Parts: sequence; C-alpha cells; structure tokens
Amino acid sequence: MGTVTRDPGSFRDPAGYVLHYGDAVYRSLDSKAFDRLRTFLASPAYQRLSASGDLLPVTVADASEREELARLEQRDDRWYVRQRRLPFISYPYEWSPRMLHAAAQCTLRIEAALVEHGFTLKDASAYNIQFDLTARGPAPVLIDITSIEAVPPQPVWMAYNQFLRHFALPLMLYRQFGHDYRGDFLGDLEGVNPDAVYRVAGPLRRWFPPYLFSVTVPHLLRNLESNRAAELERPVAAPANHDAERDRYILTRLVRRLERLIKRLEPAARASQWTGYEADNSYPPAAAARKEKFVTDACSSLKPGRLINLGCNLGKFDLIAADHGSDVLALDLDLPSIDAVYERACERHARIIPLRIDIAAPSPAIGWKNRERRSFLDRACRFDCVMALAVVHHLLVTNRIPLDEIVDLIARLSNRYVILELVDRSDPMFRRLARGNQVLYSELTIETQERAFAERFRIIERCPLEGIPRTLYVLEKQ
Amino acid sequence: MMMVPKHEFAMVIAYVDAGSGMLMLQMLGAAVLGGWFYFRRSVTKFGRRMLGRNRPAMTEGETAETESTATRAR
Repeated sequence: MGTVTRDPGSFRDPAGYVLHYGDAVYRSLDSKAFDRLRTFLASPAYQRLSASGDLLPVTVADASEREELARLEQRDDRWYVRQRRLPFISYPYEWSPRMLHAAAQCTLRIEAALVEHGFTLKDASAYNIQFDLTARGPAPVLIDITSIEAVPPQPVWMAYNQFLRHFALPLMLYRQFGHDYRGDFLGDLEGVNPDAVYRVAGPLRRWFPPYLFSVTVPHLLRNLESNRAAELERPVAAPANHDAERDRYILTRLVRRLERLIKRLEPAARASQWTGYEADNSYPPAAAARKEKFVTDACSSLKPGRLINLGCNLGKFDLIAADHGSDVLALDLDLPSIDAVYERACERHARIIPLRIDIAAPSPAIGWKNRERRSFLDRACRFDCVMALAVVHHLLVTNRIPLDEIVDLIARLSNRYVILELVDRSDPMFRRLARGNQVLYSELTIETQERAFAERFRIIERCPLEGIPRTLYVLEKQ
Repeated sequence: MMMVPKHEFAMVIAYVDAGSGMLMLQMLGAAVLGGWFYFRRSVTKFGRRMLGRNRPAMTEGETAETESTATRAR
C-alpha cells in the first residue's frame, strides 16, 4: 500500500512523531508514551473531549497494521495510533483573529477537562490546533493527542507561557492596536515575543490588565532571575507535601483565569476597504443577480467535492458552493473580511475554512530546514474546482503577475474545473487599479485573457454580464 | 489524581519553554492559591464542626465548584 513518510514538521516531541501512510495519518509512539496514552484513552476525559469534537479521536492500530508500519519503518519498538486526515492543514498566521480566539478557547476547554481528570496539556501550541469541517461549520480541534500527559507533581502549567505567546498576546495586540500578528508567527515559531509586547504596551499601559500579569510581572521576574541566576538556580523538584486535591484546585483556578482573559480578548468586528464591497460595488443589479445564478448553476452541475476560492471577500459565493455540498477553502488577503467569512460560516454551519492568504504571496515554508511548516502551495492540492471571480485583474495590475503565470497557478491548483470571472481593461475597477499605467495593459481585453486560459482549459460555458465589461466562465482542464 | 513518576517528569514535560518569569509568577500564584485552599478547607471544617456535622473536608459541592465554567463558544 505504498510507502510510509515521516512528517518533516513532527520531531520536537520526544514521545512520538507523525507518519503518513496511504490516506491515513498515524502517530508513532515509544512504549512509555503509548502506555501513558492508553491510560488517557481509558479515561472519561477522552470520551468527553472526543465526543464534544474538541479532540480528534484516535484508533489504536491493530496487530496487522502495527506489523506493516513497523516493517516499513524498520523498527519493532514502536506503537501506532491512527487519526482521520483533516480537510486542510492551516497555520495560525493564516487564521483570522476570531479563528485564533476560537482555537484559544478550544485549548482551554481541553485543559479544563483534562485537569478535572488528572491530566494536562504538556504544550499549548497553536500549531496543534486545526480547523475541521463539521456539521456545525468550521471548528477548532486538537490534533496532537500526544500533548496530553498525566499532571506533573507541581501545581504549574508548563504550557502557560506557550499559550500566552501563541494565543493571548496576539489577541491582546490585535484588540488593542489592530496589530497583524502574521509577521510575529512567521518570524518566530514560538509566537509573539512578550518582550516586544512589553515595549509596545508603553510605560503606562503595561502596569494595567491585561498586560500586568501576562507581560509586565513575568518580564520583571525574569530580569530578577537573570540578575541572580546563580543564587536561584535550583533543580525542579516535586514538593514534599504533595496534595493532589490542592493542585487540582490551583490548576483549575489558573485555567479559569485564562478563560476570563481570553473572553475579554474576543476580537471586535473591524471594517476595511473590502468589508463593504459586497453591498457597494460596480455591478448593476441585473449583472449581480446573473453572476449569482451563474455560480449557483455551476456549483449545482459540477458538484465539486473540494473547492478553493482565490478571493472570497465576504464569502457570498463560498456559501453558495458549501450549500451545494462542497468543502470550501476560502482565501482573501483582507483580515477583517476573513473574520467576517468565519463568522458567517459558523452561523450558517457551512463547510468553509476561511484563510488569510494573499495568493500573490502565499505563506512560505518556515521552521527547521524550511520543512517544519509547509508553504501554502505545498499544502494546496487536490481541489476539484478553483473559483477565481474578478481576481485575475488584481493579480495582473496590482501585483504585476504575468497572465501566463496566473493561468499556470490556477491550472496547478485545479484537478478539473475553474469558475472564472474575467474583467476587461475598460472596466471602471480595472481602470482605477491601473490608474497612470493604462498603457501597460492596453492589450488586456477579455478576449486576450480568454485566449490565455484556452491554452490550458476547455471552455464549457461563457456568460458575458450585461452593463459591465466582465465575463463569467466555467472551464475544464485539458 | 493521576501523577507522573518524578524520574519521568523532566523527560515528559520539560521540552516546552515554560518561560522563567512566567514560571516564577505561576509558583507565586500557586503559593497564594494553596494558602487560600487550606484556609478555606479549615474554615469549612470548623463550620461543619460548629454545625455538628462530621463530614470530609472536600464535599461534592466544593469539588463541583472547582470545575471549569468553560462553555463552548461556537
């Protein structure tokens, strides 16, 4: 059944690593980690968390599976659990603030349930959370079951600092300053640097919540420790008078405090130049209605299982595709728009994962050997249909991407179909984008663009819109 | 409560950077909360004795109070 490949991003946890084999995802564990996992799987916490959808369930590999995997790995000391493959792997720098907030709440719900039953998360990385497509729409889920361990002999949450850096601090900066945390995550896998937040908060604000106990006091304590390092250097040891009930009380209070903090950091809806586009655009009403019908008919007849939309704005057409049974990956470069799409998808229980991706400069590969977090295009494959409605002229004019390169990217993303809208150079929006540079685009009529696509795709349907120089297409890959 | 054996603790959990300042703050917080926990338990014990009841210190009610109020926000 093919080869087994070890996930290049899975190596930090000494307990185990991720394997890809066939269409399944396995976690390979050493015997001690497997024993600990079995204890957790037998606990009510596992039943509760997997039933609620917060934790991706696992199945322990049976004897024949284990034998096969051990043979392929050429090791006989490993144990395996199988997990369902998720529709799309995304990273926190591609999530909107509401998505990051939902992921934070999911992490805390899990930690609260674990503490109650004598377990804890040994790390609280945002990369351990993924967005799954459920009957309730997009929902965060913990994929890394090996992060779950029995509580340590101390009433501290070792992952507290990581939780702050991956969730609380980015949300804090977004809420306070509208700060875009994408660069923080791309620049440092450990997330937002608390020292940077200390400086950004300023000399006054840092002495008040939420900065005081999340940033300022730890910053000062760390400096104190650095100054007295030799004096304070002691091995971590369990307290002699260990009291499990007391520790559970302390950890529960800690998680509750974080829950209150995250609740206060709920991102507010923000406006951008694109959040009003759905209501206020250049389409005459008849053309807008025709476009909506065209997309509806296309989704109804093509029935793509997986669809990617390269410029979703507020998700109007993504909702149509999801209503017709597609799993949709909705991309846009505008953060408030992606936030709005996520909210709509949750309200409508639509199978849409919205991601903040600028298709002209998609997420790069980062981390160890540039292989730890894969590039967006490396992950974006196997789409039955690409939707690119009035996107091509933005790439041509704003980003100055050559037309044949755009056609090539769309052909690479699509396994079969494309739902396309091309915009003529005489269109008012095109002219606005090309202001001062019209001479560069004098050849870019709809016919020119159509010819470029016809080299790679067969035109199944063409529909010029009335009163606006735009044409809709359904294309099939040649 | 489930426990990790001491000798396995470092291996199991210490690969995440706990943040030295944050760890110290947590320990300070744990000391305060631990004190409050014992104070509350003593007061509860005393109250029960005064009321003539002789029940264990941590009752179902107290345990339930420690449960998280986390709610699903979807």
